[in-house]
Amino acid sequence: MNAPIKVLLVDDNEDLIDVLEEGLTNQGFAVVVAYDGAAGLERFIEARPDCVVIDVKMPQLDGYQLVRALRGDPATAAIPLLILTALPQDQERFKGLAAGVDLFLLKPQTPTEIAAQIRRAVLIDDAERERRLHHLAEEGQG
Amino acid sequence: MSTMLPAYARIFADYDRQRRLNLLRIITPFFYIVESLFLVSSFLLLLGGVVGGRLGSPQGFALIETTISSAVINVVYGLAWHAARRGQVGRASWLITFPTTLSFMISCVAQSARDGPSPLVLSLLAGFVVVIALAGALGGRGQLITITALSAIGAVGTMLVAAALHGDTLGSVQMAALAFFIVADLAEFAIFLAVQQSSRVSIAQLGELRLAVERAEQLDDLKNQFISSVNHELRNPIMGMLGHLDNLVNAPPTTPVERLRRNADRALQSAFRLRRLVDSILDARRMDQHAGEFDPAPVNVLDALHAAIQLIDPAEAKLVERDLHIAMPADLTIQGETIRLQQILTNLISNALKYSPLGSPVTILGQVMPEKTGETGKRSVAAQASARMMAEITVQDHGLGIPPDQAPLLFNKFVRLPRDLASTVVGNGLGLHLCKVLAEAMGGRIWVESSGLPNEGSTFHVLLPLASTADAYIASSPTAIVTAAAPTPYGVITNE
Repeated sequence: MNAPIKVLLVDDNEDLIDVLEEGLTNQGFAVVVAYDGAAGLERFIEARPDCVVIDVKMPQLDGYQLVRALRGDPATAAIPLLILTALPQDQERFKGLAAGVDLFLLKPQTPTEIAAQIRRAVLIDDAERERRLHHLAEEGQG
Repeated sequence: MSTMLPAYARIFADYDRQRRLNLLRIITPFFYIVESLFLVSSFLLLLGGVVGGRLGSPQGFALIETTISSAVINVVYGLAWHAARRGQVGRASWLITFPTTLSFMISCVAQSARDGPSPLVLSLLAGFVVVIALAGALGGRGQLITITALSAIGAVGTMLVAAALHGDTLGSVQMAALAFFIVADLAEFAIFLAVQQSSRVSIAQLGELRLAVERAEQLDDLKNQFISSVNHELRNPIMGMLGHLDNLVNAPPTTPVERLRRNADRALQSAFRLRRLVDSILDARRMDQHAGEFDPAPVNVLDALHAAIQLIDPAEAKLVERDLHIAMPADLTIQGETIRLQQILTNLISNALKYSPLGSPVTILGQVMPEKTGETGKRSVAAQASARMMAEITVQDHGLGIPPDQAPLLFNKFVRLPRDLASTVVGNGLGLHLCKVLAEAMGGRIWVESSGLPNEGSTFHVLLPLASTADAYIASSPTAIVTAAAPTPYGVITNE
């Protein structure tokens, strides 16, 4: 196996972060954590993860704002994003976002299930990433 | 109609007003235009009379009279139209019906004074039928009665004047015509009264329906709020439990036993959290029914307060140093039940901590005050004394405050402020409901005062009956000061 997949977890619930960190580490991921959207953005720039798992309900910068920030920057626009939410209707809120998110995960989810989804998301082929960057560039012009 | 509830009466009044306004907006301009045409034609006739030099004749005199009264009526109809356009239903309908009736009365009496009970005068009486219909359609019941009475007086008066001035008693034809007119008048009155009354009844029924719909919509809102808060509250602990169990089952073979035990233990903690939540939701109903089942006994408020502070869930109310300022007379004693008082205090203080910024103090005060009469809450215990002495406990925070329009709703089951639903502060919307049920079960009440302005915070007041032995306390009023004995997760606890 190559270098481990690096995952950034952003959630204000410390217990959930703990449990996911432990489970994902056990399954061979490199895990970085942040307890708020703003901290998540900072950690993202430092750690350059391959994938971000984001909780929706957070103080200060919430999941929606974090996704917008990450998607608005060409450097981060192609990174797979997984949204973790307790409310099914949250999906509606994210529909307006240009590049969208890769996956909505409705709580409760086990670390094993989330691990499988991360692997799937990270394995999107390069063509898809190209398409996404291209889409973003076009939007920038328009 | 006497059984009509105030809410239905309001709905009926709204609907009836709208119906009359719609009619007035059609009828007043129509009357104004017809009357204007009449005015123009009588003016032209008058002009012809002036040119022909016939003004001195009785016909010429009648023409002047008609033109003037027509001009007056024209102005009045104009005012009625104006009132209708401005939505003044009562004024517009009176301006149509009353002057019309009056002008008919005047012209009937004037005509009969000249001609006696002639066929022309009898035919003029038909005009009263129109004004009663107008009053029935445009006016309320009072207007219908007034106009009907005036019409009857006008008709009888016309005949009496004719008979008196022409030295005649009324002939059988005139008598029959008058009797027929009075009967028709009353029949018309009865018909319109019945129409008004029946529409009143059906609107009351519609109103009942509308209230039921409103209530159902409100319940639906509450249900949605509840589902969305419970969704969040349930999914998180389930995820914690599943996660720890998943980690336990899928742990690498080399994992130390302590680590595995920790996973199991934390899964258990999540399960306990889940159980507490389920209990609180399912118990809300039970609590409603059993809140009053206790033997009232004297309970020291300060003791209950200390116990209550220990009970606050540090995880829920954020384990951060917070200053609790307490000014509670050491011997303030209520007549109630310990656990219930503790629950009220725990809920109020934990709310104050949850919904105010870190670092801001929470102030808890206790004092004795007479219960104000007039502001009545439900009193199931000791409701006999009208101005009994009560213990007032207030819990004040410096949070965002509560918008005044939302404050009364807060004590309903499953209600949380929209702001809090959107926030990360957890809650199931049951705490304040429970406080209300418990306070009322002990013969007290609870309310909140808040300007709704940020930083001004909220003050929750609980009024509970004093224990009878506390009468002595009121007389001597000692201000004993007790400092917190047990260490707590909170910062400074001062009893000033």
